[in-house]
Amino acid sequence: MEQKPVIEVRDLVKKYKASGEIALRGVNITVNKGEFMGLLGPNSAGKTTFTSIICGLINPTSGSVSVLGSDITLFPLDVKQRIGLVPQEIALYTGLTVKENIYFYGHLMGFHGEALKKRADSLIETFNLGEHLSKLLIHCSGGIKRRVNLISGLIHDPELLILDEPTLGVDIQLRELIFGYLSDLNSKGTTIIYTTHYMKEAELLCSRVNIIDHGILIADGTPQSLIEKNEGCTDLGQVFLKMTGRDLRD
Amino acid sequence: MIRDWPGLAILFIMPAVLLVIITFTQESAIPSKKSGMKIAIADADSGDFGKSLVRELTGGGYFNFKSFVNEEGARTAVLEGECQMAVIIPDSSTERLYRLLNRSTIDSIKAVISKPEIITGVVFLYDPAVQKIFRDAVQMPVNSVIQLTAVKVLMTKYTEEVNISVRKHSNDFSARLIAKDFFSGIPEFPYRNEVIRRFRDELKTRMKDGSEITMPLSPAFNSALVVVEEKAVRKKNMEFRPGVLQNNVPAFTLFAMFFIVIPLAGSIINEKNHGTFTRLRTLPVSYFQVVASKITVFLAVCILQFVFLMAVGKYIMPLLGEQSTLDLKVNFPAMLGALLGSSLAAIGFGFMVGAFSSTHGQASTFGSVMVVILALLGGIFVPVHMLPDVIKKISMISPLRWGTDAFVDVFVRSQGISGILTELALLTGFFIISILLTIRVFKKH
Repeated sequence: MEQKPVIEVRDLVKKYKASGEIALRGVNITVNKGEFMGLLGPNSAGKTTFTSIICGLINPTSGSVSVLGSDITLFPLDVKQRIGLVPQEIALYTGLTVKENIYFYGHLMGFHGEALKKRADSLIETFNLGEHLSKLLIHCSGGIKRRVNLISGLIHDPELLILDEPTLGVDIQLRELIFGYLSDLNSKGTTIIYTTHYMKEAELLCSRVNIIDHGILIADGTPQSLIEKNEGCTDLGQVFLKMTGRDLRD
Repeated sequence: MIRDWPGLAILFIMPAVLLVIITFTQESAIPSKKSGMKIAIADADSGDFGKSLVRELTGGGYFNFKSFVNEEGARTAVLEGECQMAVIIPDSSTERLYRLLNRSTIDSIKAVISKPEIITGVVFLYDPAVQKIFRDAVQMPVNSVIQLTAVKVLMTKYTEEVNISVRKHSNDFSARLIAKDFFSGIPEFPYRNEVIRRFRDELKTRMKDGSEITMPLSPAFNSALVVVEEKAVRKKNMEFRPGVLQNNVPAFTLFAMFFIVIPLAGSIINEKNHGTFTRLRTLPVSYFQVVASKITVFLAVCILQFVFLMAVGKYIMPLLGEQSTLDLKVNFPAMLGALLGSSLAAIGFGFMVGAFSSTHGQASTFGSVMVVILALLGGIFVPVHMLPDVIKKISMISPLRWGTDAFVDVFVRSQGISGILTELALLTGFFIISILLTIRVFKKH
């Protein structure tokens, strides 16, 4: 039996009523199970709008959006239970401790008791947060906050993980740890959508790359295939610049 | 800075609003015709005394009086909050006053003036919600008017009789005799001899030219002719006499509850600014769950505030020497209703401030100043019935006014749940509208 795609987006259009801005202009994207997809694009290209629609934060103006086999606009709670989002900003409660933040998001995802403890302990150990658990988040370093931010999106072991620049402002050691963890997670079957401005990261991690610009999907393929298709380009960064141009964006 | 409209509003609009309201409130703190306090007056006497007293009080410019045909009407007006106090002039007051003159005129007057006796009584009814300080401020001048009116009425009648007597015996000897006789039984008072001399001279003059004699109203006539009895208008099941704590503790508990706006709005702004709210929206939780969880936590805080401040009023204040007591033997369902209604309104207000503010500074400044304004309008510092009519009308939109009214009805007027249904409906309605507006702003955000 043919497996349904994890994400299937058809003719996706999003026009913001207030500003009149058209963020997505008929985008078609399919993400299959187990893919590690890089979603790339300059600023204001439409990446955030796309991930916001996938997460059920905003509704599309037109087009169909199927996530994990369900229409996100019709069954948002069912889908949200199975996806994890790691936002770019540190979306945590500064008045809570490291442990309280992790457990808070675990509870919200329906984890309780021993199951939550087991899952939390495993992630805490992986990201080496054991000695910081009782620290108030407001007193933690940027690196610790970034790790807690990541764990909070992973606590329920989601089938689909969406990461928005998870390595922003982190040192090389933590970056390596995150890369390793995500690769491992992906190899176990978790589908990942990875948004970043670091082309090297996308080239290294992603099995497939989609480039969006001005609300239109302009490239889709493996990093290697995209490099080969674009004559004179030796890395994904050059491909990106060739396709999106050198003009500064908003 | 000119682009920071909320900041500019905090700097200019809110101080102006405070200035207006505090000025009106301060002016209203002393009961007067300018204050919103209304006093019912019922003349069951309909004689000279009753009519004169109504004329003196209503025409004197002291307070806002409203006439009622009988005691029942005035009592109902106080019970229903239309008036805060009532002056009841009992039936046959004039007759009892004039009965003095039916004795041997001068002797009877002297007897009364030298040794006051109860001639008639005026009943002073008051709403238990009106604190003693305000009752006294009204009762003292009203009492003076009552006594003075009684003396005037009596002396007018007496003068008529003296004039008749003088016409019969118009000679110098009679004048001396009447004057001496009149003042002989009166206790010492300042300028006594001067008053007697003038009275005697006037008698002589009038006797010669045949004109009417006007009796002097000397300081001696300040003795009380009328006993003023003070009674609280209360429902049959209300046994206690509310003291200052009975008013203040619930009122300031309500005030404290509304300060929940600062932590509540702060938490909403944190969630908006730190992205946690957006993150919550990506989790399998609905708007209702997000809002309901906050409501539950802050409702618990409000209930704890209530219990704590009630305990302070009940147990700590007496230790600090407070004479009045806080009576908690009130209708429990009504108390619970007032508590929950007020708490929800406070929480709704906190949600709105949090939803519409962008920064902590805006929320805390706007929130705290608004709570003070709403408290001023709501009668926390100066009772609403004291405020001028314009401010009183504006106060109708203050949730603190609804909360205060509900608590006063429960704690002071011994009302049950049926007695506070209007306030509960307003508080709950405010809460629902606030939450709907907040969710609308959240969705837009």
